[in-house]
Amino acid sequence: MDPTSDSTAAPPVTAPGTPSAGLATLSVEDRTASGSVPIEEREVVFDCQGVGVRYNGKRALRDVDLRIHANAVTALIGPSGCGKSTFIRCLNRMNDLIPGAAVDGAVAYHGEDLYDPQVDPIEVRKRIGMVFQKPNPFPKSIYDNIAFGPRVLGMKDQLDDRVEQALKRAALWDEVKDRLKEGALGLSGGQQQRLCIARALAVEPDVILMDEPCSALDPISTSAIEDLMLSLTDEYTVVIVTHNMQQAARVADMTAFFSVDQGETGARCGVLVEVDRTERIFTNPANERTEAYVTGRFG
Amino acid sequence: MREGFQEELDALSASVLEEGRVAAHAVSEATRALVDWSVDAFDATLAAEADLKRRYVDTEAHVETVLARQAPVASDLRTVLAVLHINRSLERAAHNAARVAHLATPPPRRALVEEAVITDALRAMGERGAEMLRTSVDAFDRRDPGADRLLAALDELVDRENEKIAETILSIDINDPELRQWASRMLFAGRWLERVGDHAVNVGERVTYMVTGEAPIVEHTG
Ligand SMILES: Nc1ncnc2c1ncn2[C@@H]1O[C@H](COP(=O)(O)OP(=O)(O)OP(=O)(O)O)[C@@H](O)[C@H]1O
Ligand SMILES: [Mg+2]
Repeated sequence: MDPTSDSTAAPPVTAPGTPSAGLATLSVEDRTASGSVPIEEREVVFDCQGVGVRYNGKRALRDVDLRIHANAVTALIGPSGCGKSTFIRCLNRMNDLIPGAAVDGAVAYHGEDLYDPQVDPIEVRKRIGMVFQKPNPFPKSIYDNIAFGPRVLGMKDQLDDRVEQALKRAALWDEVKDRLKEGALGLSGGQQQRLCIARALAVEPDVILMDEPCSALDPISTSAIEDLMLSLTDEYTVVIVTHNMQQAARVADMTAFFSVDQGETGARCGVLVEVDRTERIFTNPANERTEAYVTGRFG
Repeated sequence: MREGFQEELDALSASVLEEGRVAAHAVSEATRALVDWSVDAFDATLAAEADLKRRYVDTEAHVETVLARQAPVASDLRTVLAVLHINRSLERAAHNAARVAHLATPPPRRALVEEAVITDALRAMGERGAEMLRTSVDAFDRRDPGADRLLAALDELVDRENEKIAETILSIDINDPELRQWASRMLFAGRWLERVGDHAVNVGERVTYMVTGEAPIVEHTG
């Protein structure tokens, strides 16, 4: 099992309610739905400059300059091993939890340095939720799965309401409202994945990161999750990693293509090749490597 | 990688080249039928039109299958879309050729100078139109992004011949019913041949878009 799996709801290392360095200052009201504003003009949620990651000194990703805009879906695509998961974990400091992982470069989140020592990583993972490839509900009731995060984060008032809202937002409420006390493991794979999304939403995040959220799902569940991603952009910023090119083409506003470069020493290292509006990536990408990848001629 | 897909794209491209050859042949034969009153050329035009119609239907069905099964993107998508549009333009060009052939009729031989001017202009338009079609599919074959400009320049020449026909017809004796009828048929023939040039220009523009992904498409209708 992925060692990083359950950290969306990991118990806080500081006491609940401890003020964190500015990361809690962004209120819900600040997140305006910005459907008609051109994506490049929307607020920059993440401004990554020269971001790289080493595992035990060995470089896996380098020099990523990427801006992620608010209220949009950004897809990360690229061949296996190019560092998509490594990169997406930089966005909520999940790499902190991986032994031997070291992040360099700068990640600004709403203009604040995400890696500032003052910043509370728990607050970060509350604001920036994550959903994984394999649905990973706890072996508890549906209700407790959703309520867990708010509980440990001290968001205990109106818990029933919070659970209901999160399940509604994740388009799962109608299917589970009569069985909230039943075990989450009795749900189908697609339902479990929406439950995990609801669990991430229950702590009122600003961003949802999803690493191959549909790769274990059938087409019907996949399209339910895709619809959900699109509907979430009115309130949230969504970043997904996907191997399904058509999925990126269907749901993403922006698409970033990562690939693997072989350095002089022969060491392989992930790089960002191109980022652009999705329609451009899939009709007329600027870079030959992107073209070769999206047309299935490489990778 | 995706070898089957590449083979399908190659097959589509080969169809376009073959259609271009047939369309140009239809226009040449139609011109011969029109100005030389050749029955063989008339038959050859209609046979070419029918041949192209069959190819047109097959190519469109093949494009549909490729879109449904391969979900092409980027340059592959642009190639398939170009094939779809070019297929239509070539079919229309051959259809116009058939219209031209149907207008063939000997001149009444009364206004000799005017008849010669009109006939020469029609011959020039037809030959130019066939040449433009060959040029346009050749540009497709070579993935030549500059073909649209060359074809637009050639189209100017076709348009000029057509204007010459219209002006000449205005100068002939409209009280002679036989001459008037012939002239009005030639006026229409000029119009259909002029459209052949437009279709070749459309093909060139689709080629430019296919290669660069950038050029704005201004359809020349007809
Ligand atoms: N925990 C880790 N420890 C050591 N190396 C790692 C670790 N996680 C990833 N790597 C290495 O970093 C590189 C990038 O891996 P990453 O998992 O980010 O790729 P990916 O693009 O997500 O691939 P996939 O599409 O297969 O999920 C790989 O060479 C991988 O072996
Ligand atoms: Mg991965």
